[in-house]
Amino acid sequence: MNEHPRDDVLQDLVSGSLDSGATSRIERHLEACPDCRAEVNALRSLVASLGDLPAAVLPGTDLRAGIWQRIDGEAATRPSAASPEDGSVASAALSTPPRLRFATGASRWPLATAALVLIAVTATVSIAIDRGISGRGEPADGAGGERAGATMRAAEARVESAARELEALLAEQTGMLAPATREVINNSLSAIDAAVAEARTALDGDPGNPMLSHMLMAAWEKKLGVLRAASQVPIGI
Amino acid sequence: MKPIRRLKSLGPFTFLLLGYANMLLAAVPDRLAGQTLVDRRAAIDADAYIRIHNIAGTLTVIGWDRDSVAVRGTVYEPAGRDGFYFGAGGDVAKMGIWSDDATSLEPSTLDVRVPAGARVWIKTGSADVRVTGVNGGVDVSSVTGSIAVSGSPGELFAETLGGRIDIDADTRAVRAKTASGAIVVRGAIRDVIATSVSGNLDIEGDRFERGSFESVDGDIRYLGNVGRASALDFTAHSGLIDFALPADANADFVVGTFYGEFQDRFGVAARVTGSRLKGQEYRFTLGSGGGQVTVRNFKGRVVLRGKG
Repeated sequence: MNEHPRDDVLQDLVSGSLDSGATSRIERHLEACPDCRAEVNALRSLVASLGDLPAAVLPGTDLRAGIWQRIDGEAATRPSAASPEDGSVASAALSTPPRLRFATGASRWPLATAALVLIAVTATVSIAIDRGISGRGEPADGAGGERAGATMRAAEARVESAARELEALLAEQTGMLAPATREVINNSLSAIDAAVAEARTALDGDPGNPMLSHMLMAAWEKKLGVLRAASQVPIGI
Repeated sequence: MKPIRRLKSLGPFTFLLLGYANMLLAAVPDRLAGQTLVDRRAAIDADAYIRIHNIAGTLTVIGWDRDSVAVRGTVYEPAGRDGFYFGAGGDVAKMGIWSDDATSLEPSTLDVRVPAGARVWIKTGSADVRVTGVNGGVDVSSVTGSIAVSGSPGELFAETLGGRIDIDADTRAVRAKTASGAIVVRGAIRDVIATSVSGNLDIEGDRFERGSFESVDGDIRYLGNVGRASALDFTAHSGLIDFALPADANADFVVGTFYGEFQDRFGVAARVTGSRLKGQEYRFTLGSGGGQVTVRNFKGRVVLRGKG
């Protein structure tokens, strides 16, 4: 495997959701590629730091990962001597468009971080639900409310940090996007930021409120989602 | 002699016009220089993995009852940029046109036929996407293009920042996400999550088993019944959440608001807890109950009304 694996494939490797064949291929690549090896080590450290989270919240491989893995794997294993006109996948691989700007090198890291932070947030909320502060549960008060507030604050800090990295990434490129796309992104982020601020203020006054916790995390999740998508927009779109 | 006489009778002004027309015709090939007609096909497995790109324009993907993939259309291939690519064989195929720099790109139109059982991954920039008749998985992401999917995909992922998503499907799972685009979801779906920031969500969910619908300031409108075994979850920050339900609906509702208002036009006997200061919760049962509906709205209205 000569190409660098995609960031979601590395995440799947770290989460252990790749099949044995793909795992072997990626590990062979890692032996020869210090950049990818460093990235995987960083991802493993991050996952280790989230080690107390329940494994059940980790998402399985989705359709997207499966298709990419299948196509990239096939393309990489076909003979490279195929004629460009023969219509084979191997020849198509020669003319495959370049990977998205933010899917290579160091810039993959914030995207991977964002994905893992989302996992962490989901897990944190799951833990909170297990402890009885679900949307259908009764609000926690007193010491319970303070604990719930602390849990939320910790989760929020991680999301906020990932969001800042993605915002910095986006700021470098935003001038090259089409005005209409820029407007969509800016308006969306403004709406989310306002929602986060209002929900946060309300939660400060009522730290054990499960509905507010849910809404605050939902808003943060949307922010990471928009930033992640915006960071991958091609120039001019 | 007759044709010459006719030409002479046209006069110098007409020849001038013909000259201009000739110049215009000569200019046309330059304007279309980047355009290429595409017509490719290849045999592939019935459940092949297929990846398709189109940066701008339109993309139509139709599942057919053949073990082959075919693509026809007009692609714009400006000089110095990546052109159309196509490769297929066995259980994989990939095709399309893409560039990391879409500045000044003209639209390409692609019409793709895939085996109905194929698993299809699609990415576009501003190109609109329409997928029908694909029974394998479908995964579509776009920046500003709209996405319309109908049929029975095994599972469906659809994501676009600025475009609209329109889903009419009988499937196991749906994930739909936009920033400003509207989302419409209907059909028979076991597990659906639809989220937007400012786009409106229109849901016809009487045949959904589990559903989660979220927006920040977009409106969410639910039309139809609630299945007896359904679990549906609605969250908005400031948008309206509106339920239009039939008179014979059977569901257990929990509606939470913080600054928002709950407007009952259906005539339910809601048990109210909480306070204006810390939010209120309304619990009520429609009919004999059954379907579980949870609603959260920070400061938008929640409206319950009869259908029709």
